[in-house]
Amino acid sequence: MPKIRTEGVSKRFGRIVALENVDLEVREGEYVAILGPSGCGKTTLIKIIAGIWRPTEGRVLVDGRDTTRTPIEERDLGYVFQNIMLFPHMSVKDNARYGPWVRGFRPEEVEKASREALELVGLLQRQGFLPAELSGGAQQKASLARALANRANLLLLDEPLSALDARVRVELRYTLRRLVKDLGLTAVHVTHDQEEAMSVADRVVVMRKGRIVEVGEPRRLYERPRQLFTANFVGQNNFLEGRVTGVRDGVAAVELRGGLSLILNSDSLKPGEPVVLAIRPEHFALEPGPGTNILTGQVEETRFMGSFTRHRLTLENGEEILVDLPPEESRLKQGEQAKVFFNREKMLVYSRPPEGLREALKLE
Amino acid sequence: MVSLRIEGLRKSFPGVVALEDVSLEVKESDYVVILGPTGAGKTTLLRTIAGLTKQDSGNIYFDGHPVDRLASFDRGVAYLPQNYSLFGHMTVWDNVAFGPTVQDWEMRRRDQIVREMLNLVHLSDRRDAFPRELSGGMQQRVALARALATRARILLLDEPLRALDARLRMELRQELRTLAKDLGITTLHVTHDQEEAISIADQIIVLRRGKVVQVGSPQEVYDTHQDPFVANFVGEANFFEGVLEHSGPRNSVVTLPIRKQVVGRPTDMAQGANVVLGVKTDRCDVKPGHFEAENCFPGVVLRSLFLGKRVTVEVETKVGFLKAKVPSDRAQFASEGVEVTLRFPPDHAIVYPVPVGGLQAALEVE
Amino acid sequence: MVSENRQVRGAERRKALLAFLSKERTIDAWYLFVLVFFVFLVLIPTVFVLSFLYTGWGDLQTFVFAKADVLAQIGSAVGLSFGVALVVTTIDLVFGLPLAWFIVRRDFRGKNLLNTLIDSPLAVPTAGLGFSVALFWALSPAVNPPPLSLNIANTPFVLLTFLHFTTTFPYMVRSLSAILEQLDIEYEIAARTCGAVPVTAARTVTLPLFRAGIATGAILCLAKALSDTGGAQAVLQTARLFAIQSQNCNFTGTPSGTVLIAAWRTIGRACAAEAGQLNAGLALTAIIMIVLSISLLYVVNLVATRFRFPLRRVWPGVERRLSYGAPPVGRDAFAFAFLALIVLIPSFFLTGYLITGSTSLGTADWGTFAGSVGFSFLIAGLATIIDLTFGVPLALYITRGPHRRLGAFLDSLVNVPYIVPSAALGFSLFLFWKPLVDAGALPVLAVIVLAHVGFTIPFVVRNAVGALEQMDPSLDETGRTLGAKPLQTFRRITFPVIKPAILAGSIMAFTRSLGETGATIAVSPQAITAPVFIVNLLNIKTGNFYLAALTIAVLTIASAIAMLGMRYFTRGVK
Repeated sequence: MPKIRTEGVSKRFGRIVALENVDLEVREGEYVAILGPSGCGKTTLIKIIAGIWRPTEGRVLVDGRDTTRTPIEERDLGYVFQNIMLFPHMSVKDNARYGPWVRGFRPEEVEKASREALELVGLLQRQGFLPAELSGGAQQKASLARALANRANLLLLDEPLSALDARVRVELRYTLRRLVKDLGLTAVHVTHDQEEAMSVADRVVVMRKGRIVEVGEPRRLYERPRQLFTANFVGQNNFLEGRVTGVRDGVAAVELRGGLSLILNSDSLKPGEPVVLAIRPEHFALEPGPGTNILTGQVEETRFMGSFTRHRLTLENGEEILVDLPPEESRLKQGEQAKVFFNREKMLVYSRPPEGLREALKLE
Repeated sequence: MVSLRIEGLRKSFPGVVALEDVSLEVKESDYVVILGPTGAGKTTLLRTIAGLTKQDSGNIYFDGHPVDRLASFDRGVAYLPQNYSLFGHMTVWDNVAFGPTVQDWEMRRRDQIVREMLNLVHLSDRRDAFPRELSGGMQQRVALARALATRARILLLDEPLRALDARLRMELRQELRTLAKDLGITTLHVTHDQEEAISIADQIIVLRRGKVVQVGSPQEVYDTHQDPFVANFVGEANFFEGVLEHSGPRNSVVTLPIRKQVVGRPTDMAQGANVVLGVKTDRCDVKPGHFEAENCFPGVVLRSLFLGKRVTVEVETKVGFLKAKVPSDRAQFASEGVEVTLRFPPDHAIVYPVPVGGLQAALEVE
Repeated sequence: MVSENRQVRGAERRKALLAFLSKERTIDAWYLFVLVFFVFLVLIPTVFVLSFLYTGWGDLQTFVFAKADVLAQIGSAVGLSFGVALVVTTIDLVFGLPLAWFIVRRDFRGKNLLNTLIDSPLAVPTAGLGFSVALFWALSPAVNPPPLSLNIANTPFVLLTFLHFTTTFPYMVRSLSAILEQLDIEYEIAARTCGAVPVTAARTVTLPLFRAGIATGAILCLAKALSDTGGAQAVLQTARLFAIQSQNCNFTGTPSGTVLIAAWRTIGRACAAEAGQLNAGLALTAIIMIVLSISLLYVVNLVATRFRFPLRRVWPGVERRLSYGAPPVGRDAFAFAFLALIVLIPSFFLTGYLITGSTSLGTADWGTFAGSVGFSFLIAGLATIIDLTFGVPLALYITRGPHRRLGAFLDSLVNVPYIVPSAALGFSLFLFWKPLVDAGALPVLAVIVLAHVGFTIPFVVRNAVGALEQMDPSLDETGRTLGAKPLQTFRRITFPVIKPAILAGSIMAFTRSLGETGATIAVSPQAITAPVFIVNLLNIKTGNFYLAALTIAVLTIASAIAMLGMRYFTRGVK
């Protein structure tokens, strides 16, 4: 039995459709990330799972029971808010013990639960502090402790790291994943940051405009995204539009604008089909290898990016691509003509979207 | 366009020193990023340059002329606060026209610049909209157009991308740089996001707790970190504490408490000094199995975090937890529990003195 | 050629003027001027009567301290005022809180209607509320009450309590709602995700965060109840529990503190021989009321900020039962019943009288009627204009001035003329300006207007300060960096944003001044504004109750139009 299941959940606010027919399953012990741009409905979805909002249609089942109408306080969960929401008039310790305390646990139990939770997040030393006296990262940890002290098996996180500095986020990602796995919890984590989603989750649910676009393991979503939107939203990608010119023996030839031609492995494409090809910037190399395609272009700009060097190339047909090379291997200089190679196995193909490529990839 | 020089800037608020002896130089038309954690003093620095906050001591020069006595409205800086501060009761057009209007520009000249700016940020078709009707990214562009319409000499951006989605940030940060470069305007861009800084800056100034820690090109700040804080803040680093065994022209050798030795870049510290050796996680590599060699640490994979292009592998070794950021297609084997060896080239390991107050305190980000 | 030169010179002169007005020195001078106005023309005169302790010590000895009966009169009057004020405020809190919660936290159609209903008693001048309440609750009112009245109260304490529910309840509900709106509901949700039932979440999380609202509400209610003169006098006279007998230079019955001031001022006009005695008594009453009310202001603030809500224990079982089903419904029902039966119906009961009462107007003095209404509008208009001229810069100084501590101090000082009972304030101003008025250098109208400015300027300042504090300060700053000089920033950025709040404040000031009785009488018993006219008519010997009711109706309609206008202009503004 899945831990959480939503069946046909829809949510409307007046004329605005926030969620449309969402079917989602979360297994026991799984860490699921719900990823999408602002306005995609991810926060609405997690609030409905928590019982903060009621769906307009559909139902939510937790542990097999229909909880659509259950009030928030009768659910067994921990919730972490984007804006932290620590009770400002209570110390860290009182915040942490709030859950057990209001449920009427015995004083020793209340003490134990809060102490253990604070220890898990490393805030036992600062339990006497008021929230305002702590940094952003520490506040969020305190909020996490409060959620964990409820001893629930389910942890819901609504953009828990969005309000924090970039560097602090990186640290807390480790903490979150570690805690959830060590405690054997089921977690649902909402975020707009695809790197965050991939690093913490067992499975990622990609959403856009109130619907689920694609679900999969991080690696699979990154290497073989099935939807065009996912290919752009998760990691960065180069997109080239073209038309299939011929298919033979499982290999298809695609002609791009300006007569450039590429080949890829496929047994489902038909000649004449309009397609969009996607190659990630890091799949290019300066040396040919097995199954390679070649692209030639002029290097417009070279940029040091830390772990790699990014080059912007303008192809013969005027289109631009990004090529990322490891710092040791990037010999390309601005202004020179370059040949870049990539393995056709790494290239992805999608049907040309009817609304146009720009519209299909739009992030806002 | 204009160069900027700051000498010995100091500013305190009750109970906290926001800026302490900050000096820096920005060349004409440069795009400079001020990078640091929240509370480092970045916003105070920008506000002082803009004339919104008065410094306790120190001088600010635009093109060699001191501006300390000039009020905000006379300095000619375009300041973009974090939340854009668009005038909600005015349309996009009126917002952008605000600067030229209050500065009494001739009507035709004013209309021309407003049109130009709206074109530049691709918002000509929304000129009659009100700010609340626009998306976050569009609002930011209106704020930018408004700031630039005054033909300001210096552009100050206070965490301009903070309120936007992660994916959107990647696109818009390039647009910011392109816009600034096209106009040739000297730009100071404040952020806490090191990836953002590296991808668009000509120069990076790392600020921490009111002090300038390092200044340099993205490559310098990344590869030649002068400080454990910079090493760990711009990217991520592994650190080893030990004693400097000896340092020669080609490398230096540090002995760790477990009697193992690590090799790093040459240093001019004295033999026997207590030192810290730092190496960026993405200069570290993991190979299957256990083996011993220079700068090799055998261990067990604790967990690996998939980041897309790369994977962060956390390894438990005899010296504690170490991390390596490796390309994902080379780290398929590194799953939980697998025996691996982490190693790094001496060329990328830098030796520093142990920071005052200890290593942990020096790395603190908040 | 010539006209071009003139245009250029005109533009240059404008620029020069703008530059001059934007200089730091000019702005500082302007702020100084406003400060001096407030301190010397409003604040000091308000508390001037305290100097009587020194200058009139002899008179006090002879006429007051030596006479036990006078002291007893003052004591019981002041005690009545404060007793009623405290009881009313406490009960207002008990019923106001669930009502405010209901309005803010629930989404339902007709919210606007409910808000308008709750505010409606504010449109009626307090003298009118007094008359109406007496008709509804008094045991044997002076005229035959319309049907459905309850007529069970016959002591001043009980009657005044019933009166002040109508004068203060809207203020309580408004203050509580305003703060509750600003409180992020996610705190309660966070508490509930931890397993807290709604009652526990409200008690342990929301209420402690809510202090400011409770303090503001309490202070507003106390101030209003203490200050009111017209309502108290109207209700007591109509209930036959009080009457001024100028021919005997005395009154019968037990007045509240402010009614005592009004009565003695009125008597003093007819009985010149008693002037010394009366003035001494007036001064002492005014002094005691001023000192006690200011102390009350600080005590309430202190208690509200220090009060430790009981957070040691939870009672999960009990609180769960109170959170669902009948108890919350019952609690809300009681709150609504209170609103309807104790506040709304008694407030407007006089409409029944207007319809069913005897329409014999007798020798109606239409001239004075028209004159009094006109006079009220004149004073209210002048006071409001002065409020705006000085109140807005004062608010700017408090929020954006260079000296924040001074600004915060000023902020608290602005409350003083508000909490001081207006009759005491009026008498204090009377004493302060007496030399100039007697010498003919200052018209009495000016003193009356200044008195009205005293207790209405806080409305404008409060609202403007609130709007300025809510406004993003970086809006102003951005204007500055774009090249706007301070005056331009104010005109183009600040003012449009705070305009609705200022409008709301000035309308509140206007209607407040329209309904004022005590201050007007205290400054000059001869000044017949509409409320004074009403109170004089509510006299069982020489009065005309029906004409009084008509005058009340006229004032109510005028105020109602103003308030609806305010609603219209501030709609959609958060």
